[in-house]
Amino acid sequence: MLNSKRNIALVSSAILLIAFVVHFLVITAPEKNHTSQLQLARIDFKQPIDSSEAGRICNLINRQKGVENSYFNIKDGILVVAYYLNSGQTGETIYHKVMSFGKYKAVRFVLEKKGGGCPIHNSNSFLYRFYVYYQKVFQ
Amino acid sequence: MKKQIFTLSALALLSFVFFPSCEKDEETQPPATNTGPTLYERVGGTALVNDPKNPGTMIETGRLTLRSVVDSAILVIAADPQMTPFFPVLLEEVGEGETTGLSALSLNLTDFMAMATGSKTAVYGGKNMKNAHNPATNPRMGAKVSAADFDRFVADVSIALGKNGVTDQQLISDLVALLNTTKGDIVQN
Repeated sequence: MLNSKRNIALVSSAILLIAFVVHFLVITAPEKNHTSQLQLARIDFKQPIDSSEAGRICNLINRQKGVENSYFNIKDGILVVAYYLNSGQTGETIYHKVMSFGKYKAVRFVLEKKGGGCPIHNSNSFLYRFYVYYQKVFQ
Repeated sequence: MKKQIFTLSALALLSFVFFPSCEKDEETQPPATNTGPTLYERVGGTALVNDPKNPGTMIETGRLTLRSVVDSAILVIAADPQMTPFFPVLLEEVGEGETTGLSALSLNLTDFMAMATGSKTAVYGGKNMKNAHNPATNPRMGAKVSAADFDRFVADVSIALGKNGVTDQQLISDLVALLNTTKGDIVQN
């Protein structure tokens, strides 16, 4: 009888401990950074785009695989699309997809590379590749 | 003695089953001050919900709201030619397919906003506002910010608030007022 009660007490304590650990882990688990694979593509329109056309473009591009969100600055004719790199999309594929929605005069915005700088910013450098590897393993 | 241990264990187990979580405890506690709910509580507070971007992970509603606003604000700012000169390094990285800077920006801004609005769990680990916006102490910053640039930034954040369903004018006004408290450190031109 005493053994039985002791077993129940032990099992209860074990359940309590497990519940506490699970609760603690859920509450304190670090947030995964959902943006670790997020990338931006910018397209500059060289013609006026009204709000309904801008809305249509955003709706269409948002439906594409790997596209997270988009925003159209109507005043300046600039479309920015956020997409996931690991979806197979690139700035180029996003641009061509947008251009397939209509006959637009638009160019893909690519910042002129300044060169030099920190090696971690050079996608061909060992440091950059090590950083990407580190990210994949630990995120 | 064994009976006492058994009773205590059973009570402890029952407490886990019937007692509310830490989360609900905090919600039922009276506010620490008599100034009403914090901004963090007004944008959702500490109630845990499933993180739509990270399946299987929980996130505080307040943090989820702020993170969504930050991510939208990044899009709005990226589409704003007046803001472009301030982020040359970030834009160059984005052009090369590197995401680390963008990722860090989203996380840092979310942490900063969460902490500033009253989150008890968020920790901002970035530079202070003065150094973060000074090209001499932050090489990622392309130029010094003028008052007009800062106002434009606030306007971009307001657009992002609207895109995320934050339409309560008082709440928007209070969040903008909070942003404006950093103006003295950010405007250096």
